[in-house]
Amino acid sequence: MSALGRWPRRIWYFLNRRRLERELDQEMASHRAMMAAPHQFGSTIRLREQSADVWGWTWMDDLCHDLRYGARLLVKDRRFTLAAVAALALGLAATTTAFTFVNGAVLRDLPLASPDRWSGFEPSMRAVASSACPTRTSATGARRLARSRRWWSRSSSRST
Amino acid sequence: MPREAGLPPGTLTVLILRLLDAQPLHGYAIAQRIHLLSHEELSVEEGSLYPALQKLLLNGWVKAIWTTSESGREVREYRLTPGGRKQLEAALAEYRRTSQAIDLVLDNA
Repeated sequence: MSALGRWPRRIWYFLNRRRLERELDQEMASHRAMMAAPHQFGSTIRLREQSADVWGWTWMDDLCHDLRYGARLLVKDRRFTLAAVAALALGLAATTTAFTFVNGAVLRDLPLASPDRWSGFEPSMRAVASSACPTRTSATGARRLARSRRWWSRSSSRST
Repeated sequence: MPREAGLPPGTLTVLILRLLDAQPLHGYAIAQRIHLLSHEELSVEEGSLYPALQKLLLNGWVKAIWTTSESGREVREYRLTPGGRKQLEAALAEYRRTSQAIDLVLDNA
């Protein structure tokens, strides 16, 4: 029997397992009642667990138990919870920041139409930028610069 | 001395399937019949029987139905499904082949 064919039955068992476990209890009770020496019947709880193991949902029960246990502990010890949450938050923030930076600066291309054509731009960026700046060369730019200088000297002399 | 440890792995499944091929039975009756038919040489503990039955249910080889026994007790009876019958045939063929091979070695060594 393929594992695939078992899955529908496995899911069916999971959906009905409260009822099926009850039925198994009843079944074992009637088995025990029929025995000449009922005390020889093993532990019903252990048997039920072993039978439930067959259906492969024990991990789900264990997970639920662990989650409940964890939640109870977190509620009980608030300071620990706070410390754990803070440590997690800091850790997440640090890694996210580091990744964002590396991603933007190293991994991704420049946000331009054809970034490969800009490859020679970077080493002499300052020189190119200053020579290409229109405020230094154009007449209006020069005037604006002079005005702002005047404003700057006036306001600084006023403040002294 | 009744024993169960002597059963090779997987044998219990074949025994149960073979019993259910003859007639539908409940858990206690399966254990009883294995005990009687083996001249009290084999005894199946509940600890092996119920997990084995669950495995048969999981594989779709048997179906469990609640009925009333002759003694008027509510019992859960197991019946072989067509898939179970096919599995029984395959398992029996496999068992006979292996057992013959073992016999050949034991007899001719």
